[in-house]
Amino acid sequence: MSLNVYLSGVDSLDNLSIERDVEYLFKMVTLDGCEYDKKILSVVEKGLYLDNLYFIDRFGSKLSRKYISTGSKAALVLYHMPDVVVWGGEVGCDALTEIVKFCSRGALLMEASHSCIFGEVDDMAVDVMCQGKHYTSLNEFAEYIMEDV
Amino acid sequence: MLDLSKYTPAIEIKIDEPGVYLFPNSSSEGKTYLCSMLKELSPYERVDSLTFSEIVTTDTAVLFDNDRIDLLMLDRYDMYRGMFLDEIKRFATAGIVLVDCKTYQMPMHVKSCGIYLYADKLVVM
Repeated sequence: MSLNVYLSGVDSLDNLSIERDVEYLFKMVTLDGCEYDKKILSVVEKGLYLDNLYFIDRFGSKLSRKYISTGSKAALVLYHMPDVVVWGGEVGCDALTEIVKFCSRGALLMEASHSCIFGEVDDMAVDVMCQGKHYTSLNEFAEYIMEDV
Repeated sequence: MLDLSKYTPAIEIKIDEPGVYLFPNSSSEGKTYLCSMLKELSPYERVDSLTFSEIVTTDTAVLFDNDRIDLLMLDRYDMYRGMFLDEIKRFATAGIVLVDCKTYQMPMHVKSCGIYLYADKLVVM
């Protein structure tokens, strides 16, 4: 299984059913405390997973899951609703990078000309399918998105 | 400069000039939190906000009224991109518009702003 990345303006989207409102989709997601849930809440929110209803924010406060950022919600929707093509137009570059690093399933539609993925000094293994190519290197995929698209 | 520092959490808007200001293309900085706080303060201060779920029921004549407010935040503008462009331009001649817009190129002159979230305050500059 891989994260399937589609590029708006590059891929044909005719046969894709795209869901754009990640805030709405997230309302239907059940967080089960898996490693991915914990990772996203840690690296994007700088917080901690607590349960399906609450998380601990970066200041140590217990908050309702509704206060999770839109970017994190998109990351969580991608993982927990792998049959949905999720529009990444509301996802910041930092969260997009974390999605690529840690999400190995689901389908993401990126705005090719307005998205960015950050590489790292120490390259990381990823599992991304894009334009018919299987990317296993974060830096290689980042270079493709940043320079070739 | 708007003074919302008496509230908890405090909000510091360190922007003096009217115009359209875009937040950076980043997640989890406190933008939606700011949007909700400005909405809560809108009955009491010259501020307001709009997010995607409100666009159907919002009266734009009331929302983009320079006589009523000095600062307006548009959250999740990517979801309603291209809407209210004339109203935004007109309001921004005398007021401040903060826009969360990551992948849409606003067809107007925009400036950049940053947002900084702390435990007890939120700063926009």
